[in-house]
Amino acid sequence: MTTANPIGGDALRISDHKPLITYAGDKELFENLKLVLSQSLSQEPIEWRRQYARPMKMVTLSTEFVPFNKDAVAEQINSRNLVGRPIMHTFWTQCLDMEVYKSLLRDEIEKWMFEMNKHNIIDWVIVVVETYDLRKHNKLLPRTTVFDKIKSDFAEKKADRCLSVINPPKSEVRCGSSAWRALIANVRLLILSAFDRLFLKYEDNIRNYREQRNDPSWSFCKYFLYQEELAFALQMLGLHDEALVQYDELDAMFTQFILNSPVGNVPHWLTEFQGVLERWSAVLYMENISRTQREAIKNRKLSLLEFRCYLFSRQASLLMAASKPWQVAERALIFLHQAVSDLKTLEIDCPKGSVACWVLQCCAQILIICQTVKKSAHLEECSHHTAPLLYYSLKKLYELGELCGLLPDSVQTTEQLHTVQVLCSGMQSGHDLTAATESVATLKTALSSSETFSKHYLDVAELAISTYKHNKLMRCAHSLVGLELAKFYTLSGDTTKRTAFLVKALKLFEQDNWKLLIVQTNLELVKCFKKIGNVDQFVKTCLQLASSSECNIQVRQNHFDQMLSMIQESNVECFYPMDGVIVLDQIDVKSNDEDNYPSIVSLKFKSNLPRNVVCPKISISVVIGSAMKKMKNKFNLAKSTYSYDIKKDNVLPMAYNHNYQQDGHFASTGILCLNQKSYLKRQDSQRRKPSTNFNKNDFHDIISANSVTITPGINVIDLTLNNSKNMESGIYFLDKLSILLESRLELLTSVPFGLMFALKNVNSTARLDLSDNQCLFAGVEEMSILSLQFGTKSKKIIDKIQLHSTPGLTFCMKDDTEFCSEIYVKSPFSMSSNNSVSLPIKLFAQLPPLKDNPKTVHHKLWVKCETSLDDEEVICVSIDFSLPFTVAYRLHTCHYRKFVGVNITCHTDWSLALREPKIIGISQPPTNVMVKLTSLNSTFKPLTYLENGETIGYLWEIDLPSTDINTLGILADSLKFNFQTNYSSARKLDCSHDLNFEFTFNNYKTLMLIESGVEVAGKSGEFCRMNTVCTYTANFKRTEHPKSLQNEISFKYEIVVDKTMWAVCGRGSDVITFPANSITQSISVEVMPLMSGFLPIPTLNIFRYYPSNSRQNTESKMVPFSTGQVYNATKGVQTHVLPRVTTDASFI
Amino acid sequence: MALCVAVVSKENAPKYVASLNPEDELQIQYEIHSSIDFVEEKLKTGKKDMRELYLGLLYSTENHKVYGYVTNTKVKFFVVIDSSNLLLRDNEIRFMFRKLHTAYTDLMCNPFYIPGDYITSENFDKVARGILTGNS
Repeated sequence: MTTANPIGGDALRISDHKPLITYAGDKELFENLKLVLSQSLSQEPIEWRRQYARPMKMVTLSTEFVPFNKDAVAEQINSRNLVGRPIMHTFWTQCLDMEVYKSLLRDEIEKWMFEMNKHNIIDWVIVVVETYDLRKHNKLLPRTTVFDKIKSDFAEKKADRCLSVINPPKSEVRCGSSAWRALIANVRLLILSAFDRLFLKYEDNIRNYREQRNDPSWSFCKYFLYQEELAFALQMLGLHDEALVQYDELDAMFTQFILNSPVGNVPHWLTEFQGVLERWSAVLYMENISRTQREAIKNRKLSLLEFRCYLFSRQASLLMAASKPWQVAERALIFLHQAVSDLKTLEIDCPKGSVACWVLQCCAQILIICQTVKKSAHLEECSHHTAPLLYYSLKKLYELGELCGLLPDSVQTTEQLHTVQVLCSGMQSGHDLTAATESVATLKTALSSSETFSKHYLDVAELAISTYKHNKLMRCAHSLVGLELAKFYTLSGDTTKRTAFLVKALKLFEQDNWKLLIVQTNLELVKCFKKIGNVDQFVKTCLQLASSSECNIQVRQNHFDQMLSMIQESNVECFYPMDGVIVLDQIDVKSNDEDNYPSIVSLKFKSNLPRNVVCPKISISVVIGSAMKKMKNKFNLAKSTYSYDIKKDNVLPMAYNHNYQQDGHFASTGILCLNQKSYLKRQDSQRRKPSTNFNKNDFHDIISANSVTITPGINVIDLTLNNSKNMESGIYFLDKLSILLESRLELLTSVPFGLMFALKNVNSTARLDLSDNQCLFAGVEEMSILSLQFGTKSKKIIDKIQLHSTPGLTFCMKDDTEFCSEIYVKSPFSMSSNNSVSLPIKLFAQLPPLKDNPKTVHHKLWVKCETSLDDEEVICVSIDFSLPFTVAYRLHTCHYRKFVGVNITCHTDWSLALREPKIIGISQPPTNVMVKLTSLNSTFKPLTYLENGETIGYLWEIDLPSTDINTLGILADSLKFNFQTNYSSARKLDCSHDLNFEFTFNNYKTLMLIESGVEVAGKSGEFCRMNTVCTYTANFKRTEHPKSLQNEISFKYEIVVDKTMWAVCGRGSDVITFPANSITQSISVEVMPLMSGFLPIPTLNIFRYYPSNSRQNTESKMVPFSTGQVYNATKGVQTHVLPRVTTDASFI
Repeated sequence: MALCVAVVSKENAPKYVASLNPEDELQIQYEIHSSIDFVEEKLKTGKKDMRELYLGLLYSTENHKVYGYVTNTKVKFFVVIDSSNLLLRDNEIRFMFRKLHTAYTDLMCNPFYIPGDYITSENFDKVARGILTGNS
């Protein structure tokens, strides 16, 4: 440790001093006791209860005993020193013999007491040591002892000052006896009370002296030495903190004097500090006190700085003694600032650089002190305070360097060399102490040449920056020290290092968003980037500067111009985040109603650039929804909008909230924030996110505008969607915005998430243009227009179109007459503005077979568009044709006679013209005979017109050869008819088409005749009455076919009634069997009418019945008859039912 | 009488800076920015009394002293005074901060102020200017 220490006689070592206690009387006795006594006193600490409610302290007394010397005492008592003054006086005796006491001892004590009284000393103690002879121990105790006598003679009122003790060395058994312990305790207490009294008295003196401070002859230096004594004494007692308080009081008082000096009269003593500063050496820490310095203080020979140093060194040594080294470092900065401020306040004339030298020495010494700290916790604590000291010395060092021309870019002048010499000599002179030379030597070396200066400067800077970093004070490290270093490197011309430090500082400022500091750093950085030729960073920084509102407009314009010229000179491509340059305000996606894809995206933004710029291109990239889904897990369509106002976020969506009572009366009203959760979310918790870097590759599908002029301030620009033809249909999200400021300067930013538009990709379609409710009919020629709507992906140039259709559909173009199922249409086509082509077309669909009564006929038409590039696109059109009419046929029977009826119903909305029909009937094999048909139709007009919904009926009688049953077999059981006619639209009679309709009758011959009726049962009258049982009879007659007569035939009948009218009382169904050669059969069943009036008689359902045959292993079955085989002669007959006979009626 | 009054947000961005002498502003801003380090350090080590918002002297140079105060929501207030001005005791500084905090609370109560925005309130400015000039 290289602290300055006064040596030899100069040194005042407080630790060497102990409270002094004199001894008198039996010196031989005391010499023996001295060691034990002083050990016992310092064995344990004792509470020091002080007056004026000052905090209690624990004090460990270590004392020093000196023989009483009356001359010395007189001198010490009169001196003002507190240290080296006996604090207590003791008198020791072991006389036990009263006679001896009376003759000798009393005189001795009296003499001693005389000295005490003479000096007004009350802190004295008489100790009687009793050495018992054990052999004489059983001797009777004397009535009065010497101790009692002494007490009564000298300490009548102060009994505690007369103590008796058994000599411990001689009676070792009783060494720890209570008497001895009491002695020790008493002595301790007496010592402390002596100190207390002394201090109080001393403090009074000090106070009195302080009160005289307005006296012109009063001197702070004198006062300082007074109070310092007190501090010494406290330090001597081991009360370092108490001693420190004394110094702190002195410090504060001194500072206050200096502060008051400019406003009041400067006291005389203070003017002595105002002399020209001649020495600026600094000694900040001394273990021992220099008497010379105290003498100098006394004689007012110290300069202000020296005095301050002395004061601080005392504080420092006390702090070190209290093992609080970090406080030394902590106080050092305040001390230095205070001292420098004092120099200014007192207007002390200091040679240039002297103060800096002094500060540097001080800092260096504090650092040295801190380095000696052993405990790591203390060391850590120290480092917190050394960093600012290092930074302070760095600043001072720079100041010195500037003054002495030692900075890297300067050359020393003679004058500056002289300054260095003056400064060095100022550091040397002054003390005769072996000064802490290391700091001085370092500083001198640093000042000796430019190189050593630089080295030292960088060393200090390195230490400062690393200490700050160690303490995790990054802002201090990079902004304070870093910028200092950048300044230094500016001078040394090391642009790379300078840039590095500036960039680090900039990062911090950007992270905290301190705009003014960012601008300031950027202004420096621009110069660096220009120097090292970093175009990218240069342009970026220029851009930031040009758009920062903190700069004045000239600076902004200047940097903007520099940037433009730099871009033109170099060929570097630059991409930057848009951040502060262009601020987005609002984006509107205006979608076209019909197509649903945006025709325009309106962009509102604020340009912070200082001049107008013509941008080659502004574009927005889009991402399809499905891709976006992959990119972001949170995909919330509900949030998506077509418009986004960046500022709108701050406006809450409010709604009225009316409350009603249960009875519907109005209860209260208020306003409510919708969706408050998303608004109540803390937003300031999110830190500013640094802009991410973008790739140019992202720009595939773009919405853009070219050659846009951006003016400073708000701009509104419309962008349009390009080449939507090649895009898949789907939902697109706006992704990134790019503004190309110059051909090689692009600004990029992300568009707020959620802006989207739907792009519907329209496929090519073809359809037939039909007027409202118009439908196409098969079997007639139809005119229509084939419209081709080309989709978003189709090529716009088409060479030819091929049409072909399903079988049964033929067509031709409007001008042609020949219908065919495949045609080519050659270009040119008159393509309309919306990519559609219209082709007038004639269509003819063949009538389908009418037997199945179809409603519509489906056909398809394929349109194949061919381009010159062997590219083709096929479009399919489905066409439904309705039938213009339906044809129905029917067989009518009357007994054995048969009739053919054909009905035609018209369905067209135009009139249908029909020509005279023909019918041909052929008896099917084996006979194949032409059937003779007799037309029962009225005479035909040449054309019959039918309107929609009208039906025309035709009737022919089949001319059976005879009604004779024998001839029934002439014609076959199956007859085939061909109905032929000719139809056309009433509007186009010349364009007629044939209608051929074939149908067949099977099993048409009449096999059975039925006659049925209801009769009154019994004798109840002529008419049936309601609720009266009647008889239903049915007669069955077989056709008298000779073959069938020989067989036994069974029928099954079922009586079918309306159950509201008739109740069948007998069997409702049964099987009747015609035995061989039997022709007729009849049944009768009892039925009862349930209502009166004309009721249709019950009808019969007849089935042919085949009974089960066990031999042929067949089960019984019923087969219905074909149409015409059963003729019911009484079909539709009604019977008259009278109402019930009332009792009244019967009575009459 | 102070040289500069500053409000720094929870994210350490300046929200209000007013200086007595505009020419000092840049230097003072550097100092305040560095002082944030000390605030964070003090917040990290944890205060004994949560109710004590005053952080005391954070940073001093030959010319300036930076005092700090932090609200429970970690909004920082800074007052910079001239180092030579020893008339300003701790109590006066505390009083300045208390006034500033009251003004800030009033500002926050204003529904038209959006937390996190730069402070442009006239009332707040009046209070801050009052602290700067010393007549409040």
